[in-house]
Amino acid sequence: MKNYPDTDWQALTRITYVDKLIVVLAITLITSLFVTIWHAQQGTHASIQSPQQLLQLDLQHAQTIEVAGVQGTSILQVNNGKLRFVSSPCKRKICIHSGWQHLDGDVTACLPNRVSVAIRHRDSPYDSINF
Amino acid sequence: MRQQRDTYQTTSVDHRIAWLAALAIAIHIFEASFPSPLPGVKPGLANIITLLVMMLFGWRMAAWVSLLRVIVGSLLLGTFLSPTFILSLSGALAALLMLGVTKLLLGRVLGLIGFAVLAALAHMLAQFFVAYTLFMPHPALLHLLPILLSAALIFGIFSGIIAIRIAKHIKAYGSTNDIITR
Repeated sequence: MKNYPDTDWQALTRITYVDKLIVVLAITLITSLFVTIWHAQQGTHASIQSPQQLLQLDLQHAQTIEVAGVQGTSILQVNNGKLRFVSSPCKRKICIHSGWQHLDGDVTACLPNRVSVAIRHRDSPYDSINF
Repeated sequence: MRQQRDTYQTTSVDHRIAWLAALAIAIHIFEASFPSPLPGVKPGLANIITLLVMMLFGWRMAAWVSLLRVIVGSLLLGTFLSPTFILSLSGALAALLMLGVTKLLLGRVLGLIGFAVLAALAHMLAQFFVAYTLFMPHPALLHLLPILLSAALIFGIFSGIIAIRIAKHIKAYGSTNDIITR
């Protein structure tokens, strides 16, 4: 191969155990990234912000509470570690349709009524997460 | 005073760089016409040229070919100095750095698939962190990282396989283009 005097042809066409090791290491790294980044914790409590007050609720304690907003009363239900809006005086009911919230970082709100809910874990790394 | 020549003498090395860069640019532009399922996911076939040039002619020429590809490719696609260009450039620089370091450290025991995979991962990681710090500093972006790296790994393995096939072809037939190797 006079055109390529410095080329190690054997090195150009081989697949070595180091190649395979690198692929295996890369798969391990990506899998562990999937596990750590995509892992979402169950929330332990909810912070409810209304025009009058900031409430902290324990999600393990099943209850239904009424929160006064600017348009009327929003009814929130806590059950089995989850929380949802049951009713709200707003027009479009987006808060109710967003359903049960239970993961750390989940946020739901009734904007017309100025009532918002953030699900948190005791030692949560994030204020909120959106997608 | 020395008289300035109004033409520059080009060497055969310059011509070789220009031909190889032209090849890489053609692949780069061809690839830009593919639809992409996710922003940032691209096969990166032009990097096969960078890899083979490094193995055949050395790292310096690979750096020339790769950077010319990024600059001329962006001029032709109209993305020069745009965020796309910055991402492309940072990826190319990271891949070059990774190739150079890997060749120094593991050159004796590594094949083309290992090089291609490491370069693809470095390319993707650099692009991701530039995108994260400059354009979208939002924690939700982190959720894309494992998906983007999976794509980089798969395309890296494919690039390596294609590079080995091309290397076998060059080995068997010599250069098919006399101009490149003259």
